[in-house]
Formats: sequence, structure tokens, C-alpha cells
Amino acid sequence: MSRRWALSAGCAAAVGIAVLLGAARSPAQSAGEWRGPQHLWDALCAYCHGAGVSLQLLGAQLPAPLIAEVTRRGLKAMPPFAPTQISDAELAALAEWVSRSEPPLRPATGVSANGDGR
Amino acid sequence: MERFAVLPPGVSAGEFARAVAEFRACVGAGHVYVTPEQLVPWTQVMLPFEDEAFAPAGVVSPASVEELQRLLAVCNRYRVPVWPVSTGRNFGYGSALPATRGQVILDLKRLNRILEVDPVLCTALVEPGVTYQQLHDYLREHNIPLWLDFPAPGPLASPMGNTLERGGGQTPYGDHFGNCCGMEVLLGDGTLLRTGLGGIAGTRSWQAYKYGFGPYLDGIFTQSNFGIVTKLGLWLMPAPPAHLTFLAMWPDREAVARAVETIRPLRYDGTIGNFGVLVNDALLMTSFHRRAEVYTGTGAISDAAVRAVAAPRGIEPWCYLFSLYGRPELIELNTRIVTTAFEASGARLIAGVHDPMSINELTLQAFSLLNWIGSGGLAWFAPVAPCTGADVAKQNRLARAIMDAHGMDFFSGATFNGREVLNVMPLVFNRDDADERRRARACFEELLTRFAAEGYGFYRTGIGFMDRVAELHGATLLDVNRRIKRALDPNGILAPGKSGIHPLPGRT
Repeated sequence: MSRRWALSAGCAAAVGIAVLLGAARSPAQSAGEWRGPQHLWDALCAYCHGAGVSLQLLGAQLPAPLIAEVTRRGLKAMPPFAPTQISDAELAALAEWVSRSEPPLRPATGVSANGDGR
Repeated sequence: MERFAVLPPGVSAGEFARAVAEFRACVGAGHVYVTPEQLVPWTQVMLPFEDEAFAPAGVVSPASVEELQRLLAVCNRYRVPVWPVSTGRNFGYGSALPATRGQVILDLKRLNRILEVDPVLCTALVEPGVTYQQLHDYLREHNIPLWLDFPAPGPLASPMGNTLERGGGQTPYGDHFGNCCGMEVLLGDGTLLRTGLGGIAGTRSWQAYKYGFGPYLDGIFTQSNFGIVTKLGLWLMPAPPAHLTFLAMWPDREAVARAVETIRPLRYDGTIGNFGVLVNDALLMTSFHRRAEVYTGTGAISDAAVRAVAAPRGIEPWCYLFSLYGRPELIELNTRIVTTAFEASGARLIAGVHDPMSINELTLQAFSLLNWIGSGGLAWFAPVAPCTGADVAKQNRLARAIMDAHGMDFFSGATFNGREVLNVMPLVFNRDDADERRRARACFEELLTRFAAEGYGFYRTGIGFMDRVAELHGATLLDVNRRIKRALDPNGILAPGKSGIHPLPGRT
């Protein structure tokens, strides 16, 4: 068989001594801690709405209040997102960002949004 | 006085108002939710029950263990039951909702610190609200070559929540409880316990050695209501040098027993590195089609309808997705071994398949399943079989007959860990249709009864079915669980009804 196995990216990175890494630099992901709408989109929305699991919302020009309401309340198969996870202000900014977004340059591939093979 | 739509059982409106006021004093008014409108984001029911069955009385969200301790003191004083959730993404098992009406959901999302990652020992220590996404991002940003093992709702779910439910994934670390090490647990009476070696001041071994000294307690805090786990140690997988994912496909519907007999020795001797999943063609088709495109007849979907869309895609009736991990030369050797074994069983083997969950790539692709009908109705029927072909084939025949009788489509996704097969069968139904909801529930209940009558138990179940499943596993087990419950949570305030464990007379 030819070499069809995949090398794991990052496996060769050397880790010499024990370094206990604390929480100081950790990107927390609860209400009030998101870096902005893009961060929220990539971490929560794109796995379905940018990966072929559900409707592509980027460029769909849906009204921001509708996006915010469905995100908060859920709709059929879509789970709701509570204010402990996304604050009201973050949700409003996300909904506005999605509503005004351009269509993606490439169609959804079905590959996870941040997958780099690791 | 503040009005509440739902009250905890046995608690008056006045008492609950005072408890809520004290909750607000503990965590701040902005982290206490009690109006019906505020509670909507926690109340999605995917299971075949009415929405009202599990209606919570409120939600409280602490940001520290100290706040949590103060909240529990209030709950003990007023006898207010609380249902802890890490992120509440237990889709198809109850999501964030409590097993009984009138509990206060304790949303632990704000307890979200990654307390420690040790890249040499390959361990982590996390709080309940940390998601797999957050931990994944953390490892990437720090260039730490460790893999995570995700359950199906990976990016949204938490290692804590899924491990405590004894969930699984698709890398060699797929047994999540088997790969946790050390817990900090807040008991109902306010005691803060560290299991394993966590009670030794200054220890660096808490996440290195699971069993500690004396009885090994961690298991009693899984699928349980004996305490609130506030910190959890995890073992993480060193990124393997290489990996290769395969799909083995059998061309006949009777191949299940042969498939299991082929897989078992390859799992037992370590050739196949992960659980893998043995799925029927109908389940695979949910990734590509909606039910209405495939079948418009009455009753459960027919095999012919499934074959009509599966065959053109080259999908056979039974498919086993699995992976090899390790050094390249080992993968080349093991590729020859699995090829010989699967081909001898009549399977065709495709190498180089991309399965994100098997290789540390976050995904929600598995929930394409919900597009099949589109209403969000989902209940996982999850029987355990001994790892023999005869047992798995028998379970599938039995389930298929019951599901056919109730007009429910038969999906099967069986995983292979130790000596068992977790033969998970999702019931996907139209939750918007009252008749279909009733049929799904009746189907699930008949599946439980008839599988138990054949001697089969269950790996996990959703709210609404917990009392019945606990009953089926024997009165003595349930009685002992209730005695432990009484000892650790004397007022019975923690998650009454979880796994059928109801603490106090009259609170069932």
C-alpha cells in the first residue's frame, strides 16, 4: 500500500520540560468573554451554518432581530444559546454582523470550521 | 410579591421568593432567571414528552465554587432542588432540563477556567463550563501537541459534562470516564471533597493516579446526583505520529454478526485504535438526505427506499468506520492485518476516509441526523450488548421489529470499547406531531422493557425515562443508591430523579 496515512500536524513539536500552564492566557468562552462576532461565529455557529449541517447564514441578509431571537430561543433542531453563554450585547453584535455579512468566498465543505488536521 | 410560573415541589411562593432573593445576593441579580421568558433558552425538549413535564422553576449561574457553596446553603435552608448542568448540551438525553418539574437549573457555564495543562504528563484540570472548543483553542494557541476526544456535540459540549455522563468519542481516548483522573466534588451538605490523591496538600499526582487510597469514589459521581463536580482531571492523548481512517462495508443486511466477530479480535489486540462505529446505511443517509426526499410511504422507512439512495453513493447496508494510529510503519503493518481480516469477512475496505471526530477536528456533522425530519425530535436508545455477533444481531432484530411496529425508522450506530458494544439507536421523530411524539415514547418504552426481558441493560438514558431504566436495573441497586444519596445529600436538594434516584419520600 502506498503512503496514505496522514502525519499528525504538530506531533513533532518538542516539549522538553514540564510547564504548567495556568488560566491567565486562556481564551474563556462564556457570556462577556468573546473576542467579537467573528470569534462567536467560528466557535459556535459555523459548525452548522458554515459546514453544510444547516443553512448558510453568511450573506443571507436575514434581519438581525430574527437572528438574535432564534439564537436565544432555539428553533426545532437548532439549540438555544443562553445568556450565560452569549450576553445580550454580544448576541446583538453577532446578529448584526451575520445580517450584514457577505456570502462566503467558498461554499461549505463539510469540514469543521477550524480544522487544521490536528 | 414576585410571581413564579413554576414552583419547586413542596415550596410555597413566599418561601421561593425569599430563596430567590438570597440567590440574587449570592451571585448578583443578573445571574438569576425566573420569568418564563427568561427561562426559554434552557427549556428545549428534544425528547418525546410535553414541554411542561420538566419545566424549571428558575436558573442560577454562579461564577465560583464559593458562590456555589453559598447557593447550596440557601437551597438546603429552603429545600429548593437544583439541577446542575455544565453547558446543558446533553442533546437527545434532556439537554439542560431537570428530570422533574420545579427544579432550579444550576448553570455552571461561568465556572470556565482551564486550571492547568501539563504537556509532559499530558493532563488537564478543568472547570464545568469549559467546552471542548475552549480547551481545543487553548492547546492550539499554546502549541501543545495533545489531542482531545470529542462526543458528537463536541464544540458546544464540555469535557466535564460528557465525562460525568460517561460519554464517548472516536479516538483511542474515547472512553471519557476511563480517561479522567481526580475530581473536586461539592456535596449537598456543603462538604468539598477531592477524590484520589487530591486530598494531599501540594500533591502533583492528583491528575496522574486515579485510584488514590481506599475505595475509588469517582464512579459514584457519574450519571449521579450525589454531588456537584467542580473540577475534573483529564488525561489527554499525545498527538500520534500518523493515523489512517477506514470504512469497511458489507454488502448484505445479515452481515452484522460477521462484522462484530471480525472487529472484536482487532479491538482486543489493539490493532484498531479507536472504538469505531458500526452503522447501518439508513443512518449514513441522514447526512445526505431528508426523509421526505427518500420515503413518502406510511410507517418506518423500508430497506428498499434506503437502498435506492445508498447504493448510488456506494454505501452498503453495514459500514464500520475505524482508525489506526501510531508510527507510520505500524500503520502500514496494521493496514495489511485489517485488510486481510475484513476482506475475509466479505467486506470491502476503503482507506483514507476523513472522519473529523477520529482525528481531533471539532465538528457537529453528526447532528445532520436532525435534518432527517427537521423538527428537533431525538431520543437515544442506548442498550449494551456483550461484544458478540450473536448478541448485536439479536438486539438489532428485536429493535427493528419494535420500531417497525411503532412506525419509527431503525438507525443503528454501535461502538466497540471493552467487552461490550454500546448499540446506540437514535429515535428521530416529528416532535411537532402529537401522535408521532406518543408513538416515539411508546416505542422507547417497549424497547426498554423487551430488551431488559432479554437480559440487556442500558448505557445511559434521557430524563423522562430514568425512573423506568433504574427500575429495570434492579431494586437493590436503586435502594443502595438511595442510601448513598441520603448520606451525602441529606435534604435531597441535588438533582432529584437523576438516574431514577429520588432522595426523599414524596419527592418522586
